[in-house]
Amino acid sequence: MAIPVPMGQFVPGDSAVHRADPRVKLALAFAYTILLFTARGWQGLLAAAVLVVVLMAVSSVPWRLAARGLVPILWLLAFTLVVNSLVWGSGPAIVRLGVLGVSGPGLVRGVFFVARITLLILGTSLVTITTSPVALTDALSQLMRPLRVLRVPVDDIATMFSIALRFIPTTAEEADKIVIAQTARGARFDEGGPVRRARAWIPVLVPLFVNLFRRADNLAVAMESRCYTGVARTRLHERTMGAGDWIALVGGVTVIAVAAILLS
Amino acid sequence: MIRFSDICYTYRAGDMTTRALAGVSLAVREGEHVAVLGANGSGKSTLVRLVNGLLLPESGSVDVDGIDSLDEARSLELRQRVGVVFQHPDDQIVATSVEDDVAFGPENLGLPREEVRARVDEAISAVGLSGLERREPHRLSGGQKQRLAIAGALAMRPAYLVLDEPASMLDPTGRAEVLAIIEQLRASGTGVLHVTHDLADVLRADRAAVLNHGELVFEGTVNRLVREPELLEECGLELPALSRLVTALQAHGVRFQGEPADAEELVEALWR
Amino acid sequence: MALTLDGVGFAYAVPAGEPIEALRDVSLCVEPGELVLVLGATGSGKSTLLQIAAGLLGASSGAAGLDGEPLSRASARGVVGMVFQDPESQLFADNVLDDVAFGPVNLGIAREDALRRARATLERVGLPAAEFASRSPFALSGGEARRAAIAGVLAMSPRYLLLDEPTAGLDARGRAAVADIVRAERARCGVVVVSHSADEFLGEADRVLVLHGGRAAFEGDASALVARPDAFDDAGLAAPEVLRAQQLAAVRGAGSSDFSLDPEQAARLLLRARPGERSRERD
Repeated sequence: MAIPVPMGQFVPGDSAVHRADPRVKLALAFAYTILLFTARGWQGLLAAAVLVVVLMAVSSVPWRLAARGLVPILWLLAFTLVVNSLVWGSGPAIVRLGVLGVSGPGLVRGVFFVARITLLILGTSLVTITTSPVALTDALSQLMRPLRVLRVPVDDIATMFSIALRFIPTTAEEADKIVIAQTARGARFDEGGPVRRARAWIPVLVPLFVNLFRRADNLAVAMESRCYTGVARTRLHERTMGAGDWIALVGGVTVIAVAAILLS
Repeated sequence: MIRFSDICYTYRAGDMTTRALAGVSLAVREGEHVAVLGANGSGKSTLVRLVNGLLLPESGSVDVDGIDSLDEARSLELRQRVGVVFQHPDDQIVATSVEDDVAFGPENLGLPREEVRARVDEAISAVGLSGLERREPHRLSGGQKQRLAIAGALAMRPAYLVLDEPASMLDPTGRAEVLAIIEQLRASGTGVLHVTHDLADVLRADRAAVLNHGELVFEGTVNRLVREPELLEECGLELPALSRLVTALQAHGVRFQGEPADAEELVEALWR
Repeated sequence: MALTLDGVGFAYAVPAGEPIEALRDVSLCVEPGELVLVLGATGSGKSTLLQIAAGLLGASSGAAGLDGEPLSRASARGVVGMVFQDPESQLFADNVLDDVAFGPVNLGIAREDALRRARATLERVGLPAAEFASRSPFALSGGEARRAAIAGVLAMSPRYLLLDEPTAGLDARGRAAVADIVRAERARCGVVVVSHSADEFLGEADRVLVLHGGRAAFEGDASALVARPDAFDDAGLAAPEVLRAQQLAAVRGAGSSDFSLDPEQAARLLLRARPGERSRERD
């Protein structure tokens, strides 16, 4: 029984999108989100859709992979559609099923919201598919740096992200091992109702967490021994913005801003 | 020189007190390879945590090249002087790639980037991990992980390296890799304090000390220690089979110069 | 009455490329009262072999039998007990007694009986119930935790006991305690020990299987293996130092083919092999 490791979204590649500075990508994704929610009417969605399609083509991201990001929220999409299009009792409706009816305008509204959410997921997926988790956390750490002025422990937070990432595969492997060991002791994970199944995981989660705490203790000791104090750290790898990155950033933000203004 | 002077340390948890070390004195000179042996619970791991100030002694003092471990102002300096490698390879690796992890120490010191890069390359090559700079830790073997941990300590350019049971979690290949590096380090002038429960790991040490229930019960050459089977038994230590062979040969009148550390040395000595 | 693996193979698919063969045509047989030692370096397939023997993995080829019936997860349940590497990481309960009783309870044994079995098993592994039953499993020392985990498997009264590196990471006393348990269990179970080091059980194994790259590099009596120390090198393993010394002496032209694991005997053999000795013997 393999436990899925949530690093699967990243697909390495060499496109312009892959090579762009992660901070630029994050900033543009942010601007894109604002565009999506401020632009009124279908032109806004169309503009966003064009952006997404163009960038996907440039980064040679397989469509299926991007679409997979929608699977977890299919229920939300369905729910949104239903909630917007159904009417109760009397009132104009294009289709009727007893007390319930589907309203025309409601249906259109529902589809609009579904399209918007879909474009939001697809657009932000572009960032996670073309940027490694490590690069993302590094970018977030760099972006957070100004917060140091407000006494926010940015270096500690950045280190925390990095350590969490580093231990995801290790912990997943360990969880696997414990599941097999308990299975060998006769444990069953597929029997009974939801409560019984949830409780079956106690013999896996307890040792896993105890071990994580032990690891954390050991790691803290090792870090202290290597002079970690949480402040004044230089970084071996630090991305600096190149000319291309600035052009992408300024150009991208401008295009999106103009579109947002024109379409709002 | 690392100097432990009459150290005492007691663990307190709730109403349970365990005396880990009682009046232990030991020194490790520059370039020396000193082994500290003891069964689990003998206090040897406590000694490791005392050497770089992770724990502070109840009484007595720990001194590294003149820096007292109690001196908070100089604790970073102390930790640069003495690198420590622990038992569990995975629990020492902090970053998502080999070179980023080795860089952790120098980065913490705020060294300029070129300096960090130079030290990283130097340390990675010293432990034989060149070519694996971008590899993720979970794709390394046990021996490679432990070598990475050693590289991380070496990147601080310490004068002494303390290792707490560095090979006990490794398979024979990993163990051989780590022990080979320790030999190299000793040869290049780094003082080594090697804490372990396995005598076979330290047959080449310059000096050996044995801890039993927090007390130092032996200090001398490995040669002498190996000839005291009752002491070893009492302290929960096992005599390596090779050493038993040496003792048997000696009983038949064979003379050995030093203590053969492996089969090759033994046969070499025998054929002379 | 035996656990048999006959020409067993195991391959698994990889996303890009040929399937990886972890095992090819390996056979193993153990009956209650026997101790079989499986030696192999990391990556030799020894852990895969053990998991197949425990019914946790299905072999891709060959046959696996348990007491005359096909070996499967269902048929192995409660009959084949498996102690994994670092078994301490499976301890989870509030107290040691409950943890040891986990296995029997899962097998459907009534709680009262399960607890009684757990208590008896604790005594067997040298963890007296009076002292250890109510302790938290996380408050045990390394050696104690190892024995508690083994007890958790023994409490299921398996007829076959499989152990993967049971003494790894323990100090001399810990190793001796585990070796004692294995010896005691051998009387009632068929025991298979997998290890990367020959030191502990080679002397008392009935049979030895050496794995290399998923294949059997050697199969036979322990004494046959000792007589052929090259088999260790061929399999990427380090022969016990005592044996290696004799190997090296043989290479130096002594020509002796007698090897022994016992240091006393080895000393005598080595002395006999030395050039000085031989000339003295001729006179």
